[in-house]
Amino acid sequence: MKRHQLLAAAALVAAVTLTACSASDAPVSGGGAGGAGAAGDGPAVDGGTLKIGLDRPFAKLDPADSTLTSMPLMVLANALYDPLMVNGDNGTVQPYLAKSFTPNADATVWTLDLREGVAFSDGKPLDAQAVAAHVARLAKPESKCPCAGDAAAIGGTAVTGPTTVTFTLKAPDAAFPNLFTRSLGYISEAPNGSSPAVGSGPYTVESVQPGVSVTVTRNPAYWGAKGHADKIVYRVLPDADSRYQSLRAGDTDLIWTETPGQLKQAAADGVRTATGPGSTSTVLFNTKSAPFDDVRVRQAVQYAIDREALEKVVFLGQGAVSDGPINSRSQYRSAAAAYPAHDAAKARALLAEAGHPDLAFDYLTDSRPESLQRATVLQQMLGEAGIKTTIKPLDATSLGTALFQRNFQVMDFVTSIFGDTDAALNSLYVPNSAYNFMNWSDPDASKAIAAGRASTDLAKRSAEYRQAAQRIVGEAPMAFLTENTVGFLATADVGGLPDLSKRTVLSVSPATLWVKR
Amino acid sequence: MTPGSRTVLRHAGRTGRAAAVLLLVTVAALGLPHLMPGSPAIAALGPTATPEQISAYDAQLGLDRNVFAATWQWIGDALHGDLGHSLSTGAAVTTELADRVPVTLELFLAAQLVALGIAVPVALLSAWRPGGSFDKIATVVTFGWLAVPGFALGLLLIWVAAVHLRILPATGWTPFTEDPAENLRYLVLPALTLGLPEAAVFTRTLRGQLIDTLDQPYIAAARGRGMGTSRLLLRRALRPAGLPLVTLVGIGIGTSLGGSVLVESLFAVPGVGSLVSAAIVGRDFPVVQAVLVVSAAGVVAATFAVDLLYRTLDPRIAHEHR
Amino acid sequence: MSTAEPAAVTVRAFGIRTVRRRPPVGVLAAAAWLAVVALAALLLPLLPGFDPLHGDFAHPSAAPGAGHWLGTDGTGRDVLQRTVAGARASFAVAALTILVGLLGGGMLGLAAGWFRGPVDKAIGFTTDLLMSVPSLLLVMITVSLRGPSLTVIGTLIGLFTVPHFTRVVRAVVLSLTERGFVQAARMIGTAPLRILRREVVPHVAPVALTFAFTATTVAIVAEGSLSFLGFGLRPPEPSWGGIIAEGRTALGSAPWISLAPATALCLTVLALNHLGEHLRPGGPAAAKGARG
Repeated sequence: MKRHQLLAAAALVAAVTLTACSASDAPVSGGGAGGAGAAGDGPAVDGGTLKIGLDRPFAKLDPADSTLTSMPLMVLANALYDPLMVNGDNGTVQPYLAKSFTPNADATVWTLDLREGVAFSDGKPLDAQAVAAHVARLAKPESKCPCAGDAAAIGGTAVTGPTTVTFTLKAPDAAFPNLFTRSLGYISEAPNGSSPAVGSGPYTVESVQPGVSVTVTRNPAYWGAKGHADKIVYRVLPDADSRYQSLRAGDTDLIWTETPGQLKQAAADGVRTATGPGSTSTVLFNTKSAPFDDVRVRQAVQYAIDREALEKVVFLGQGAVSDGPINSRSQYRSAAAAYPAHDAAKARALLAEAGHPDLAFDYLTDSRPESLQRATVLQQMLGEAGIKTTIKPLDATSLGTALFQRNFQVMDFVTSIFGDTDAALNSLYVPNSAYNFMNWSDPDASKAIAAGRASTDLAKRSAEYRQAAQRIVGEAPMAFLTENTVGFLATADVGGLPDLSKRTVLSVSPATLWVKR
Repeated sequence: MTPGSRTVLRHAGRTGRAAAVLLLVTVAALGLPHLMPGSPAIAALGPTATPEQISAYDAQLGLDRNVFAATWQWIGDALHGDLGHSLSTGAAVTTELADRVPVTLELFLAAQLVALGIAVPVALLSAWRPGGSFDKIATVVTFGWLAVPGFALGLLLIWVAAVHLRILPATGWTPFTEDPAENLRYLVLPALTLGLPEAAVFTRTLRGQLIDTLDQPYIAAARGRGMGTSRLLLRRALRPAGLPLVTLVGIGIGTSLGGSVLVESLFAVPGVGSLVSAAIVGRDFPVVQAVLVVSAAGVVAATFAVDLLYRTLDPRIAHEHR
Repeated sequence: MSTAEPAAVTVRAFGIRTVRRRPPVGVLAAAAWLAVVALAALLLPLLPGFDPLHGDFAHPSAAPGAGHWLGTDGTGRDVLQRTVAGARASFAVAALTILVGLLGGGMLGLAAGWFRGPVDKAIGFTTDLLMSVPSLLLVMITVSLRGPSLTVIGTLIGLFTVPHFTRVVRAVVLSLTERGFVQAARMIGTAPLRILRREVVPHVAPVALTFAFTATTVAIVAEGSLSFLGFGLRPPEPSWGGIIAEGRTALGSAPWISLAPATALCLTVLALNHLGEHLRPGGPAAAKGARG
């Protein structure tokens, strides 16, 4: 019953979170210059109530909940839970609750050394035992944690000291700590019934109304830098426009947005921004479903799409085109990747060659305005290449169901998973992964991904990943569209907004924010 | 047959009818998952669901029984105060409703106050001199109002009052019990959005009724005794002419849930409307079912209340049955 | 239509007739607006170059001007063309609503008023049942489970107007059967169907038709609300509520996107209300005519 919820409430995000399990940023590294003017922030102000508008309802305050650990809600999760590792610039991760997290030579055994003296907000010690218990709890399928799949890579967990845990992996993984930035890393105690899971974060839960709001107060016994605001009120405002109006009316101080129009309008409205390339728009092909089992048909769709025009119309020039699975800010990236340029004639030729000159298909998408707009623009572009599409907007539940059941031919797929290159490659493109929605695998790509993952040498790993990416773009199990600017909007009263422009996973700790009032 | 036993019979008949209506609504609500193409369990649980998970899901929604058996059980549970558990949060639906029904009810009542507060004086002034300049202007304005759909009005109010003037919040809610003053601030815009279009309907209705009533012989008689129009309106005409408004308010309870879905999503008000729209999108059947049945019960109760009010307010009906 | 009402009202209705022979300016304007919208919706799509789905990607959110009289939306689509195409959707939903409401409600109302007794009771129960369900919610649920379509939305909204049509029609039939000539016709052995056709239907029709105006506005507004909530027609098909919702985020920078369909919607509802009110037997127009 929790499982549907995963699927139901935020299936796409779930997919992302599940595997990506990688993002929380933060407290530690979070204090960079703010998007729209950290310079004017002035000195930090302690006290007051910070009001934050969330874009989706969470089901439970528990790191196992896929919605709570989705990127837009990490600003809430980071208040209650400390991650073992925290996301930094360029897709890197750094220790947070961990003091260090080190591999053996072949990256099959990882040793976690925890900070000493950390306690849960109920006073119980957050020690090696607690970490092992947390990981074991979330690894069980009953937890319904999307991260259970990640945890399955762990062959054995051993508590080797009061603050040390050793993980033995089934296969080498040089990016293992990336799995500990969200669910698996948000060390918590097992929740009692439907009450929130207790964590060690800078804030503790004061009251919750499910689907509506949650109020948190400063954790007086916090081990690290205390939060600036006395109290934070989070309210669920799913309607993007209402959320923006609430910010302008002063009902909220900070909101999450993925709406290009709002980012564009922000400066004119005196709204500050902290954004980064946190999401990627793609088109998934079900490569087991004819005619998309034919690579030429998939490539034809690639050629038919003018990504620059799409970006300009839908993202108003504020994003960038995407050229493959390696995010433009990723540490694994050295140069722009080659990507088929828009060429409608070539698309027609490929379709004719494949024997599908009259290609027609249903395009499944969610029903947010920008998704529908993207679908509409794509429909017209594809139409110019002789491809007929019917747009099928679905609610999140139906879309998630179709996605996980592979019950689609072509689907709009917006994801934050590419913020963690290792997770993205290893979950989307390898055989037998629950997140290989395209039903696609390729020996060369799989080999490169495995080799990259096993290598602790950054240069070698980058080279392998680039090779895999090339293969993925060439075989086109998915078409890459745009890298989208997403993030936070805040009123002028908010200080401490971090610089997220180099982040691939936008995780902000609310403890670093303050409100001047 | 004595008048007393007739009243008892009539009440028994009405109660039976109301119960039958509720029963059928319950059957229909519990049949909703069947409307869904394919298996609701697979759709909700995903392809990796185990047979145990699927049968647990089916049992929870009553899909393992026929819809009448499921209805029987649902009603039995409901009578014990158990409306099932939300599929998404796992919370008891009764608890969720207990949180949210007061919000929607308050919104509804506030909207009625807005509507009546505008409609009664405007209709009285219009009826005082039908065809006069006030009546003409009022007619144009009410017709104009009638043409503005609720969502457009809501957008406009947010834009003006919350974003530009910044005098009222655009979204959110504070319960009355927590802070009455704050509660009022959050209440204003949603209540206006719901109440203003209704004010137009009420005004049209009341004005027509007042004018009709003024034509009645007993009014003419009073007029003959030298009673002025304004006194006639207030003393003699308003009460009988206001009766249809009672019906309108009563019917309003039935349609208000539709309106509150819109208003509550626009203003992010945590009432039944936003609960149920989220539940619809999330396929949270127990919540949707409970809301449907509870709202039908509300309509039935309102119909009863309207009937009773009618009997107390309108001497003619009271006499008939005495 | 004047004869369909009880005597007192009839007299007043005749009152207007004598006072005012030509319809007032407002009524003419309302009729003219509806005619313009209907003609535009019917004829403009026949013009070459009419494509409300085609986006001019080079000119998104363009202000009203020579090329696009009402500007373009965020995808570069012509707002005027989309508004006109939206009228088609709104009227299609309204037409279905009326069809279902008139047919269903007309039949039930006739039967209830004619047969009375148990039939009336049974029909009354059915209408009670329909009225106890929150209609907008049920449409939302159905659309969410079965997918959106004009037919589903129109039919369901129509279904929920059935009780109102039933009541209106039943009341007229009851008042007719109480009057002498129907009883007289019955007594001289005229076949019931003939009485229905000759005496009842002609009186019921105008009342039902004037109520149809109200039902039309209900349908248009309901479709708008549903589209606005995301339970309306499937994009990119335009509908008024849908276009308003699409333009919502750009209300500050490109207000024309929402404003054009919103104005069209309001004017149409206004015109329909005005006409319906004017045609309504014993409506305020009648009262005004008699007294003023």
